Amino acid sequence: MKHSYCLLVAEDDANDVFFLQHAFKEANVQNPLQIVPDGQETINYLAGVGKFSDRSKFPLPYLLILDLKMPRMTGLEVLQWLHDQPELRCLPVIVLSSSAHRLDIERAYELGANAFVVKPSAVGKRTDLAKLIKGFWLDFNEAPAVTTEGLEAARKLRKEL
Amino acid sequence: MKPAKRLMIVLFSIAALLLIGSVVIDYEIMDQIRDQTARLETSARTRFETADRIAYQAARVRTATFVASGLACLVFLGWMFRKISLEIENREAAVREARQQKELFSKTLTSIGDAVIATDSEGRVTFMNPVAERLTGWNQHEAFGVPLERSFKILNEATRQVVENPVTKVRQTGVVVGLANHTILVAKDGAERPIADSAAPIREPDGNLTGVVLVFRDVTARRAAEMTAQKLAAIVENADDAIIGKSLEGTIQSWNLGAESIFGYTANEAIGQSIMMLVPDDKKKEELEILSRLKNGERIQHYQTVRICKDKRRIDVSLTISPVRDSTGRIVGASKIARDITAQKETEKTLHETQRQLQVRAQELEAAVGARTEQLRSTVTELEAFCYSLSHDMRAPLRAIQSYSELVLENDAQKMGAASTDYLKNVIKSAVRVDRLIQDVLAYTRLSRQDIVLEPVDVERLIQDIIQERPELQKPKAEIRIEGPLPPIMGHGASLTQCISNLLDNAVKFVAPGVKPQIRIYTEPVDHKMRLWFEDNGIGIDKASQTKLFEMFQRVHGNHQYEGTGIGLAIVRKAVDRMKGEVGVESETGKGSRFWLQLRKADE
Repeated sequence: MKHSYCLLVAEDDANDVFFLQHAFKEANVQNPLQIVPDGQETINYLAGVGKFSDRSKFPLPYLLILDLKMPRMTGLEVLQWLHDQPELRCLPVIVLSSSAHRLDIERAYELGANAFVVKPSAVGKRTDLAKLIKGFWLDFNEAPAVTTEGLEAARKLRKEL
Repeated sequence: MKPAKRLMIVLFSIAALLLIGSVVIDYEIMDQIRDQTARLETSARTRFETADRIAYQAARVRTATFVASGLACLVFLGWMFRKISLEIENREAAVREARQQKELFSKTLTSIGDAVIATDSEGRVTFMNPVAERLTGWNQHEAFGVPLERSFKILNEATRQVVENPVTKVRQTGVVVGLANHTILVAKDGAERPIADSAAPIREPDGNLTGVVLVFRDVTARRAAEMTAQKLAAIVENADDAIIGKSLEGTIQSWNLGAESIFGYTANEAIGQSIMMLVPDDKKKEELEILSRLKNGERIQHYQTVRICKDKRRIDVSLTISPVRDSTGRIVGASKIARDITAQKETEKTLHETQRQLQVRAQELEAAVGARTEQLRSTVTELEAFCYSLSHDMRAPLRAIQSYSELVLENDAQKMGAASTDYLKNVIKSAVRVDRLIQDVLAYTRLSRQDIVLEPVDVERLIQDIIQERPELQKPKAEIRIEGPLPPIMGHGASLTQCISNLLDNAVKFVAPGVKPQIRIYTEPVDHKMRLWFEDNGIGIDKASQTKLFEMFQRVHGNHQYEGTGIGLAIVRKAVDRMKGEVGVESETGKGSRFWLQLRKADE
């Protein structure tokens, strides 16, 4: 069941998208990948705006893999937006960045990121990372309702809190 | 009774009276007596010659004559007696008066402040009063009859020659003699005193010199006072400041050389003039005010104003004016000290101008610093943007190069020849090196900018953690021996980790081919600090290279044999600097290296 939920990859660098797809394939991740090329598109997708309003085609992701340095809107701005959404703020986010910039790390966690990973350069390492993501986030981890049952269900559930 | 017998009695009486009179009766009385006696004699002789003629005249007549002459005699005697006793009384009064006068004179001489010595006409001492005794050191009894020169020894103060005794001079000239100035009296005990004296002759009524009286006094105190006064006068006269005495009406009474040189008037020109001649028109009121304050006994100090010189030049002066009082305390004038402060004022003006300029300069400088700071800040911002870009945008293509090459190798190694495979491997190696270079530069930049708080660090545990994370530092690849326990030191965990990682990296990297790296870590206390040694069995570093070893981009060994970015040790030194420590190396080519870090002990 968990392996049918989609993963949203926010990444502007086509190479990195390619390497990530390759790594997930190597790690035998079966979840479909939705790709958005910048921060604004990421928000549009999550908000269901424009072409993303069709949730059957663009369902809310089970996990967001977010690059920090993107055009139009940065990863941190996306996190800030997410942070302000009552239900979506629960969406698990793994930040993938080119550097371990200390301020970025602090800010990302502050805004609700669940992990911060520096992009590995070597193919092998990237495969290792994909395997770890699969093993932890896609196998062991239990996700919040918004990722599995949708916004409405999440909203109802949160009322019971 | 026979007339002869009566005459005899009368004569005898007269003789007796005369006898007494010779001692006490003066000439007038003698004349009177002589007259009376002559009259009596005449009358007696007349009677004697006519006695026979008269004798036989009646007895009655004879008896009457006798009684009459007897009565006359008695009256005369009584009158005489009274006259004589009066004379005796007068005489006694005179003697008493003389005695009283002598006593008064003697008392006066002994009690006056001046010394008095009297001599006889030969110059021998006949009298000496107590002051004279004290000053000469002789007492009257010793000195009595002794020539004056012995008890009254005087010298000229300047030449120290014996001065001629004034008594001798008086005896020679017979007139009053004053002493020459600067005479010193040498007392019997050798003590010397400046004296002032005079000598006068003593004469008898007929003008004969019977002695000399010498009067003198000790002038030590007066001399000292004179000296002080002279010194003070000299000080006043030679002072650089103008010192002017003036009356309460403002008339100049004294004028020293300082006043002459400051105001240009000579003392002759100034004295008697009004002080107003020094006061410019616009300050007249001020001077009047000063005079009235002085009259109230006020003292005016360091009063800065303007005065006019003889040549009409205006000068800045500082005045100190004090009232001058007479011996009864009445204010009778003022002493005015004027200092020419024109130069001082000029200096002050220059100083003010300089200060102002300095202030302008400082403001300019501040503005420049501000602009520079702003510039620097924007540079730093740019640098940060550059670093951020370096870490993101430049690493992305490197990642792509490395990853695609790896993928090609992975997928198509068999299809490619050995050469192509090697090329691709070199591409990967290069990409990896550039990536590491970027990371090192970023690490160095981060160390430079990062705020560091020093705290106790368990350095032994930190080293073990580093080893645990890095397989290349573990057996069997390398052998690291920690000679613990290592004491905690004051440092910054992340920076220290970076330092030690780099040192250990180097230690395992720079070994001769085929040699297994062996590293010994131990500590050595140096003063209050702890020196942490990293001793390896590597290829060592020659002396020349050691000096620049810790500089940025210095690579001591050839590119091909030992890979590196040339930043590792620069990072070490930067980190150690930031932790207020030191770093160094002892090494010799082929004999391994001993790197050390020195940091403060944690327990102190």
